[in-house]
Amino acid sequence: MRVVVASGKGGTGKTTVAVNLALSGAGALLLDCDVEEPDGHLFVGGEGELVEDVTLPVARVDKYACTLCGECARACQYNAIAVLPEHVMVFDQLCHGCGVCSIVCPEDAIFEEPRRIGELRRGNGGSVDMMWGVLDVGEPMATPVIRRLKEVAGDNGFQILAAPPGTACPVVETLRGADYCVLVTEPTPFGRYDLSLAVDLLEELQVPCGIIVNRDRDDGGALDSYLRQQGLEVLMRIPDSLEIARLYAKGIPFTEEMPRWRHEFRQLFENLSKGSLS
Amino acid sequence: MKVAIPSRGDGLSASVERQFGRCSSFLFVDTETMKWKVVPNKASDQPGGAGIAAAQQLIDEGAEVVLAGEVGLNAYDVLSNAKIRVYGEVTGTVEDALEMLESGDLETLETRALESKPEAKVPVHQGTRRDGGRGRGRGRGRRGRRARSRLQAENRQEV
Amino acid sequence: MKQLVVVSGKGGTGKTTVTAALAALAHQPVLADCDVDAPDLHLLLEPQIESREEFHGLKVADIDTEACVACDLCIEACRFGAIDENFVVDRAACEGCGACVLVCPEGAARLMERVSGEVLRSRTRFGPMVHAHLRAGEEASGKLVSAVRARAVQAAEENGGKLVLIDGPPGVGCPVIAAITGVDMALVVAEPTPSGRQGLGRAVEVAHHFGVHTCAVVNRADLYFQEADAIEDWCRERGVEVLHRLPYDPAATEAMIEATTVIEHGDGPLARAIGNLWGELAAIMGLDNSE
Repeated sequence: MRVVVASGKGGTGKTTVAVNLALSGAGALLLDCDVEEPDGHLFVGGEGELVEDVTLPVARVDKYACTLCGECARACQYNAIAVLPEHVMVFDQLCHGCGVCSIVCPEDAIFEEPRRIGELRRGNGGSVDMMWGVLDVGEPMATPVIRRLKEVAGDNGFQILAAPPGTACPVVETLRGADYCVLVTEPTPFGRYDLSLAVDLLEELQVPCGIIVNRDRDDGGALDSYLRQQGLEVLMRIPDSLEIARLYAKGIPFTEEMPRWRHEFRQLFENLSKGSLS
Repeated sequence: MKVAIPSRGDGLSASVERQFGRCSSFLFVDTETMKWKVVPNKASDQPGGAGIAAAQQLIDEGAEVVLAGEVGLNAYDVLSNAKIRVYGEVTGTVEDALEMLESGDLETLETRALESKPEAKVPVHQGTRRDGGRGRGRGRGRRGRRARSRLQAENRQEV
Repeated sequence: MKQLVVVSGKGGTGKTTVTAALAALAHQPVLADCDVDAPDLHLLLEPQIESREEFHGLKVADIDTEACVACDLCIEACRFGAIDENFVVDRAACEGCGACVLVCPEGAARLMERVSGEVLRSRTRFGPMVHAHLRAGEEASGKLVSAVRARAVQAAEENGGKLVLIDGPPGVGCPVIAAITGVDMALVVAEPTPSGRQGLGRAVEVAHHFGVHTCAVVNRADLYFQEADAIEDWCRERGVEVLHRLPYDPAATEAMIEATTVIEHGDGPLARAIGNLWGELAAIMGLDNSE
């Protein structure tokens, strides 16, 4: 069972919700898929330990076999190869590891090497097992790290995946194979607009969803009327509370200190893990 | 020699375009015969790697010198490895650019990189790391380079 | 003409609020909303759209099931698991590499251009604005960011704009890289929490990796002073100048609701702080601050 916690807008409380949710029940595996900015481990898991390096195959040219024909450069959709008068240059960070260059090379002069782009780490805290991916700074592609994280996590058990913000390819990769998505939003114009983008994406991907309103305050009903219009279920409302904000700033999951919220999250955990919301 | 200039328009009055990789076309001029031709930039609409693709096109066309506004790290890597001389900060028309080249008013990007202040980062480009390194090479401190070249240009005028 | 990008690493620290406020203060700016996955700048600047340009992202493979003989060569060749057992291509997984096209013996597979979104050129009360819509689930947001930036630079050259102000995306991946390469300065908006500190660290790392001069500002600094101090110490150790601490101010949300910038909304503490911030930025970048 895979539940993804996402939001269109960054900073609405995805990590807060995912962490508190995972802590509220037993036996969940928490996966932080925001590999560009993994911050779940700041609450659960700490530094953790290395699981593995994440690598991508990158093209390499055997200069003795290469005849500088230029077929590889012409075939590469990403312009990752340049064929110069005397040698071939490969641009590692543009290479998608697709293998096309080695398919077209008439001399069989292209082979592949694994190249590190990031790593997977694991840790635990309280009742929660946590695994996260980290994309190396300077690397452009987050998606392969997320893919590998999910592969290593496997298909079993109850998994809670914290998604990156936005609606682009890393989010899509996180949502692939999800049974349900919890969308976290806030009652501000930015929050509402970005939520609508996320809702469109989930429709496109056909993943059912429910909404958690974080930092809830009176916005004159603007958010609620959008939610009603879209037929979206509100799973929980977390108020704009200084106490919650302070605990967050200290790196403490607030359900650990606030029993009322521990109860609320537990309810949600039960419903999600049983699949009664999908 | 064969000079390539990212530009828009025909002939020597074509205007130099600032960004190398996604310029609309290249004007090729043979400085010995002053014959020119316009070659549309096939890379202008490419996804990532436009600079590399544009540089590849210039290599295939036999360019020996490039007079450009701004050239990205990867494009510069390809051009310099192909032993093509690259001059930056070129503006105005193609004619202006050729005159500046003639009168020695232009600096190659390599000279600039070498003359930059020590604090400016050393050019270690991803493209040249064929050993499968992490590509943690640092960029080139472009601000330092430009500020310095402007200063040099001013000094030259006073002389 | 200078280019300034506002980034944050972590989302939600106040990038767009700050960028919009700087737009109100700068002289002849051109705006570029490069947070193409979740663009919010238009909610404050109310752009009048002047032109739309279709944007083509990565190509996508298509398999003609009539010509297909189910030999499975394409499925084996695809590194991204994008072709299912019925030879239907998963658009979200396909990276448009063309391996299937090369191996198909019947010519049943081909690569197609796809319209992934559009680039918009607009007019705002502060100057021209370039922004984009990326269709839900589409890829190549890095390419779209590059397209937005290129059009913004073009608009500046055409209109005599002195500053391209870029609202950057969160994270450190290809959209951010596309947003920061070649700018004159990156301003990192940090939030004083452990998460915010990590985000700041990663944003500074990516900016330095690409040789971009970087400064920082700590937003909502008065909420958690200890963290704000820690962030400033961290920055000092790495030669990143912290230009200002911005106070928490409900005017930020109020201005958002009124679709204005905090500068136009009133003369509160945040507006004044950003005013001072602008003075320092203009001085560092050598811009006219007489507006």
